[in-house]
Amino acid sequence: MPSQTLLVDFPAVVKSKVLEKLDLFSILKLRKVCYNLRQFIDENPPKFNSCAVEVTTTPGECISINMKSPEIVSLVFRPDGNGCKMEWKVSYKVRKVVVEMGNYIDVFLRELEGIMKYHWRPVLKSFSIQQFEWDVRREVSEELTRIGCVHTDEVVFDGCSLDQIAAFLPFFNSDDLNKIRIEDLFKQEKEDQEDDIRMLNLQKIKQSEQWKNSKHVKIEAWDFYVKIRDFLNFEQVEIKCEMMSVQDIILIKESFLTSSRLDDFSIGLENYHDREQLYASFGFPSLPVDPETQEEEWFFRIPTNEDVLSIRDVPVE
Amino acid sequence: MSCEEPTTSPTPENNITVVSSDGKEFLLDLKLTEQSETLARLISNFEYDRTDVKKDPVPLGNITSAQMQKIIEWLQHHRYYPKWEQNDIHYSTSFTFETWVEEYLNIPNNEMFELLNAANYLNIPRLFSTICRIMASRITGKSAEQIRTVLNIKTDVKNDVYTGIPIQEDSSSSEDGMSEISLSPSPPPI
Repeated sequence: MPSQTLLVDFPAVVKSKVLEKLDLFSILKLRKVCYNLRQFIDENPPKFNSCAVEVTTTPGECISINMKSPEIVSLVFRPDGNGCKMEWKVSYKVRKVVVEMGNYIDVFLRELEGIMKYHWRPVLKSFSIQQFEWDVRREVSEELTRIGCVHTDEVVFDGCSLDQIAAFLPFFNSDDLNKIRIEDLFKQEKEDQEDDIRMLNLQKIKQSEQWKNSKHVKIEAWDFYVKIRDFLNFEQVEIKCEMMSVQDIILIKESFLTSSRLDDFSIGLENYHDREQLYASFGFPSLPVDPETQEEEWFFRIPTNEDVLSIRDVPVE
Repeated sequence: MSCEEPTTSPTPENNITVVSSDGKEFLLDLKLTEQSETLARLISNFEYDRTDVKKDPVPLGNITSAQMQKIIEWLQHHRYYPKWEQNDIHYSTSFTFETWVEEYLNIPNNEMFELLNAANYLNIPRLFSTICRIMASRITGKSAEQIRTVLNIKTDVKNDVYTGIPIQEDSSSSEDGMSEISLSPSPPPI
């Protein structure tokens, strides 16, 4: 009698139980082990797989698919002559490298399709565009055009300019997109504006369905003034910028008292506003000022329900 | 027939006798049988937990004496553990095990296979889940080639009779000629 092979010869119910305990990456690897396992996995796709899949593109360098498995597993695709250099990394260490014929975007798309077929839902956790060099927009546009419509919960623009963000944003499915994160916003040089600090003009972006439908936004724009009206449609907002007018901070308070959507608003300012103006509007803080942290806190009753609005002012050295 | 006694000797009132497929009898403390849903249900149905009920030996036709011995070892070790509860589906699977469990399951593949089937048949969820986790821990993070070694699968690859170089007999093992890294289920576009 031939000896039994672990897993392969297990009863279906047992096989399924083992598969349930595996991450997505391991299941995809298991498909390649033998015909029996591949057939079983394809006919009985594991149901409880909550592994997060993220895509990061670094124009001019590579595009990668990242999974937590439980270590960070990455598949990295780089253009290599007429082919594609493909790296398999575990916890950021390269485990294997191969070169395949064909355009790197084709190879990336093929692998992404294969992964998402077995993912518990066809939506990425995050799609990140990391722009470290200026003027490589063409490559990102080509990648996004080839993908067609990106289904992701979050999009991250790192080092991009506002014009680039406006051009890339329409590629993301607005029904799936919940979070927009803008990090290290690139300041485009304009001849007619010599100031180091300029107003953040979101005119091109805020008309998009993606901006209107998202619930969370996080923006890091240290060289900019920010107008708060651009962010009052979100549930959660985190802004880091150069400066904001006291009138805008008062507007946030008024919006919280009337909006059912706003939930959390955090602002980090490089140049702090005049506290006296805040006292004139808010009154003195509701709690005694902590002499060590200089933290101040106000409470306001929200007229429409029993919730209380809390505003904290925390100076940071 | 011989009669095996577990480490703690059960008294006639608080035990049942189970018979393995090769005819060996084992005295089992009723406290231990609580870990097996199959045995616990049987005991409840036949009211074997009552002292005034005659207890017939329970035949376990799918389980050999060697497997039963191994199972009893598990039941004894977990005698005072809290009742097993199924983890939430979003619970992140842990691949760390207590030393005793690692030593207990440090057994050849064929024994592991038999033990898992026995745990499934007797419905011992803690043991069943632990073996599944051990299996998963041996697979996770490995390449297809390494998994083949772990599972002892050799059938898909054959050596060329002339050169001795491994050849792909079943295309599935190389994913239609694609590289080891590739995860895609479909062949690459031409």
